[in-house]
Amino acid sequence: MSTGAWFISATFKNLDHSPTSIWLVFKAVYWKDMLHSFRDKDVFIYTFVVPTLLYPVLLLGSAEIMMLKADADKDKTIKYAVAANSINDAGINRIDEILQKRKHFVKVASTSIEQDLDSGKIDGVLSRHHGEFNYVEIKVNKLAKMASLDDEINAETSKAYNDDLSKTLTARGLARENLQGFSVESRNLASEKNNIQKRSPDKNAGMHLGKASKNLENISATFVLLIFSLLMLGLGAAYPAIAVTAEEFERNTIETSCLLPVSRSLLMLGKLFSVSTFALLSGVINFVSLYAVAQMVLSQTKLFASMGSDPLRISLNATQVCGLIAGYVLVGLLISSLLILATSFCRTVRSAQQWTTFPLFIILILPPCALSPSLELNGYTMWIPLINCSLMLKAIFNGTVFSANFLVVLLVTVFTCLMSLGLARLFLFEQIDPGVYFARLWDKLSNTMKSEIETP
Amino acid sequence: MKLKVNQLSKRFYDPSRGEFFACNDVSFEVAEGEIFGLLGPNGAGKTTTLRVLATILKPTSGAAHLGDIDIFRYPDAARAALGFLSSSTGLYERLSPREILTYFGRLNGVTESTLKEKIEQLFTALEFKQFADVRCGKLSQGTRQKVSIARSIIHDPKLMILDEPSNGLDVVATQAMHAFIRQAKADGKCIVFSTHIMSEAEKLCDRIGIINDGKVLAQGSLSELKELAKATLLEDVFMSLVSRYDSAK
Repeated sequence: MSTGAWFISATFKNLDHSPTSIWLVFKAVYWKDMLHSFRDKDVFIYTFVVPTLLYPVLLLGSAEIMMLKADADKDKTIKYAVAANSINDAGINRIDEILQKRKHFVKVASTSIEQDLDSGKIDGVLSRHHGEFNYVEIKVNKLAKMASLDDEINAETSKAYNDDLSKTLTARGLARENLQGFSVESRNLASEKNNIQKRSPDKNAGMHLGKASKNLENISATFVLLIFSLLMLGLGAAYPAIAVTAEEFERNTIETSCLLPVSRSLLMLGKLFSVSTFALLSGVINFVSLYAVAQMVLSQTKLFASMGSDPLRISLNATQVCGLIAGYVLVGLLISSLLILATSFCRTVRSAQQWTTFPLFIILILPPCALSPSLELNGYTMWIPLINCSLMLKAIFNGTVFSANFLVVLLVTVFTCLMSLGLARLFLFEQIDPGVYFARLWDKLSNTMKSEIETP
Repeated sequence: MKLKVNQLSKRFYDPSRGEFFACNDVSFEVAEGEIFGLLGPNGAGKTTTLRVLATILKPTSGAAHLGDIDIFRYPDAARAALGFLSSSTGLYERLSPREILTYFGRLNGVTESTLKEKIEQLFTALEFKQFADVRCGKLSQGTRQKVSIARSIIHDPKLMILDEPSNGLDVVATQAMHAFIRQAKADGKCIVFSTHIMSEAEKLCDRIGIINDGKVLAQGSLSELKELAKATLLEDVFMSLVSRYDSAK
C-alpha cells in the first residue's frame, strides 16, 4: 500500500468519525502551530520582512542603476553609419533623416564598417534585415555606449512620426486627440490553444526596429512577478516547517503530541495547513510588494517605454482568477508538505536549517522553468510535481480555463502531498530514524549473506 | 483502574551494538491508589518501559492492560486515560501556560464549559497563577515543571506515569513534586514512578521493582525486598540484587 493510501486510512482509523470532532481537533492543532510559529522571530523575518523588502528592494535598486546609466548615456554622442547596401532604402533614409536632426546622433562615413564597429569607432550600423521578417536593424558592438540603442532610435522615430502626424492633422483642421488608436493583438504560437493577449491601443505606434519576434512570446510581465512570488513560498514555509518538526524534537514537545488521544494524521494535517498559511502569506505579500514597486518604477521612468504603455496590465476573467488562486494554494500546500518532510527527520533546529538548503534549492529552481516560452503543460510535464503546477498557472494566465491536464496536475500534487506527509508522520510520531533504519537493513542483509556463505 | 503489565519487551538497534533489549520480559501490576516505583541505575530500561506504557514507543512483544483497555491495541483509548510526565518533556516555548493547557485540554476531550474552570483550579492548586500568561520560555525550571504537571493531569487521568519527575529540580520544587504525587495517590490514581534515587523511592513508593539491564530483578514492598536481600537499607538491597544478577549472568 502506498504511503498516501496508508496516510488516508490512518487518518480515519481510531478516529471519532463525527465531523465536528475532526474539525475541533484540526482547528486546535492549526491554531496552536500558527501561534507558536508566528511568535518565532525567524518566521517573522522570513515570512513577513524578507518578502516585503528583498525582491522589491532588488528591483528598485536595479531600476535605479538603469536610470543612472540612462542619464549618463543621454548626453553621450552616438556615432552611427549606414550599411553600403542600404543607402537607397527609403525606410533607412527616413530614420537617418530623423537621427541627423538629433544632437547626440552623429552620422559618420565608414569604408570598413565591421572593423570600425569592432574597434569602437562607430557605435552602430543601420541596415535592412532580409529574412522571414523584413525590418530595419541596428548592429551594435559589444562596447556600445547605450544598453538599448534600438529602443533609443525607436523612441526618436516614434516621436518624429507623431510630430509629423500632429502637424498634418492640424493643417487639415483635425485634432490629434480625435484620432482613434488601433489595437494590436499578440498570438501565442507556442501554445496548444490560440491564446490572444489583448494590448491597449498604442498611441505611440511608429516604426519598429528589431522587435519582430517580441509578440510571439507567451510570458507577460505580471506572470514573471507571479513566478518570482512562488519562490517566496519556499522561503516563507521553511522556518514554520522547522518550527513544527525539528524544533518539536529539540524541545522534546513531540512527546506530548505523541500522548494525545487523537489521530496523528490529523496532527500532521494541522501542521501542513499552518505551514501553508505562512507560505501563502509570504507569497502574496511578496507579489503585492513586487507589483507595487514594479508599477512605481514603470510609471516614473521612460526606460521601459519599449515594453508598451502598461506592461503590468492584465485582463483576466473571474474563472481565470479563481483558477490562479487555486493553483497558487496548491503550490503552497505542495511546497509546505515537501519542507515538512525534509525537516521531519532532523532532530535539531540547526541541522534542519542546514539540511533544508538542498530541498529549498530544488524548490527555488523548479517554478522559473515555466518562464521558458517553449515549455508548456503537456503529456510529459504534467507528471513532474511543482513544474506542472507552475505550467498550469501559466496556461491559466494565458487563457486556458480548463484542461484535462489540470486534473492530472491536481492528482499528482495531492498524491505528492500525502506521500510527503505520510513519510513525515513516520519520522515524527513513529520516531523512525532513516539512518538507523537503513543501517539495520544493511546489517540484516549482510548477516543473511554471511550465513548463506557459511552454510555448507 | 488497575494496571497489568505482562512480559513487556522492547528491542532497539544500534549500529555499534547491533540489536539489544532495552526492556526484557518486564511484568508488574499496580492497583488503584498505589505508587509503584521502578528503581534502577541510568540505562537500566526504566524510561523505555515507561515510554512503551505511555504508547510513545511500540513494544516488540508483551501486553499491558489498564482496566479493560488493551493499551497497545487501543492506544488512543489508553492515552485518554493516562498522564505522562518526565523531567525531559518539553513545553512550547512561545506559548503561555494558559494556551498550553487550553490546547491539551481540548485535544484530551475536556469540554469547553469545564475547561476554563479546570485550568483556573490547576493554576491555584499548583500555585503559578501569576505566570499564567507569561511565555513558557521565560519561566524558571520549577514553574515549567508545574506547567508540565498541570499539562499531564488536565484530563484527570486514571494512570499517572512519572519518569524521574524530580530530576533537575531544587529542594523546594522537589518537595512540591512529592506533594503532587501523594495527592494523586490520595485521589485514587494508579501511579508508576521511576527513579534512581533510593531515598525518593523509599519515601514515596508502596511497592518497588528493581530493574537492571532491562530486567526486573525483584519486586515487592520495601519490607519484602529487605527480607529477600537480607539487608536493612534499600541501597544494600539494590546492590545485593544487582550483584546476584551479574554473577548469575
